Amino acid sequence: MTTPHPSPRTFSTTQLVLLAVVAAGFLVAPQLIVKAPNEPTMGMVQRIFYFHVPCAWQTMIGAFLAGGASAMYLFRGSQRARQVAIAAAELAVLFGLCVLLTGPLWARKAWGVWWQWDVRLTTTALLWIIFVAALFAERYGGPGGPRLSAGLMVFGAADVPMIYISVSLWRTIHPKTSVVPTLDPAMRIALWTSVLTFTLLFVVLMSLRMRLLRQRDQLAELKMRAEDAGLFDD
Amino acid sequence: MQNLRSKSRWSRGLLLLALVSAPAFADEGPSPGALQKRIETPPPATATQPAVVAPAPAANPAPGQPDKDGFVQENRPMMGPTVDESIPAGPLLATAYGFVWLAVLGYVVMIGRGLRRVDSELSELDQKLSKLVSKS
Repeated sequence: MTTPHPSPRTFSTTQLVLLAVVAAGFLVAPQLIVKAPNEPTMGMVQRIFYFHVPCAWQTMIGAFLAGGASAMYLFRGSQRARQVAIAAAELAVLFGLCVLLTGPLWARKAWGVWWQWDVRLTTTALLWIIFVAALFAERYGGPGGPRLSAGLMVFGAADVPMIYISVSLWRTIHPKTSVVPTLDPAMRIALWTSVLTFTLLFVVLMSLRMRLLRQRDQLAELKMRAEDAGLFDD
Repeated sequence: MQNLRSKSRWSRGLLLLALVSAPAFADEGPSPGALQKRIETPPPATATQPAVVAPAPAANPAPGQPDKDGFVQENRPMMGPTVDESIPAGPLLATAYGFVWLAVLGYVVMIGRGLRRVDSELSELDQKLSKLVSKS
């Protein structure tokens, strides 16, 4: 019988340290973003970029992790891999939502429209829908739900390289990835600080979500064994 | 033989079609002679009838109105910044940053509540087990 060892504290020491670094990052990043020069063509609205791009990268990291872990779960049946897949998929959905909302806010000003059925935008929306579907399958899919969800996540992860290279392969109106090395040094510092902060935030959220999933699984197993042993019959 | 007869019927049909449709293409452009004549004779400019006939109003809709294909002509210059200056950037920027903060905060709160619920369920289970142990 697996005995759970729940920590009495909500956060572990490592998580607390990481949270402190993330908080510091979120204090410093806005200052760097304010200090960064205005982009001459787009003006102030270009500053959405400093949150939009890091969110997009976290979405891709989450989708890749979820896809890889799902493949491990499908082939080896590892429960830990399933937990990693669920946590990463949730983060892909969370950051994907941020990408899909901040992008149109920028586009309304830069392009004059909220949305275009551009290849990059469409494939990103598709990725988000696939992962939402996977999470629904996991939660409401019944006994076969986890396997169906894992299959969807592998399928969704295959969309990630497509999103990345879409701006190079097809003629799109979305800015290309090659724009990052050409940025002004002050803009680059603001962007990389944001990227680092969001990556650390991803790690913290991932570890917290993993812990919650692990504890829930342990609790469910414990309850089931206690009932099987007839401990709570009266 | 049958084949030859069919071919000649086809060629006669094509010739007839060409003759019938010829007037339809006759207005595509004037012959060189007619063009010369048009240059030499001045156009009959009268007060009631303009010399150059303007296109029908349906072909050139009023500004801001969609044409027959549903396209609205835009009067913005082709060159220069593409940014629509009429939309203020501040609220868009604030909404974008605010949404990211709210989404992350909401997720952290959700995880925190989940962790607290699991902790309370575990302690409840622990209490039940302790009672059972003490009874036995």
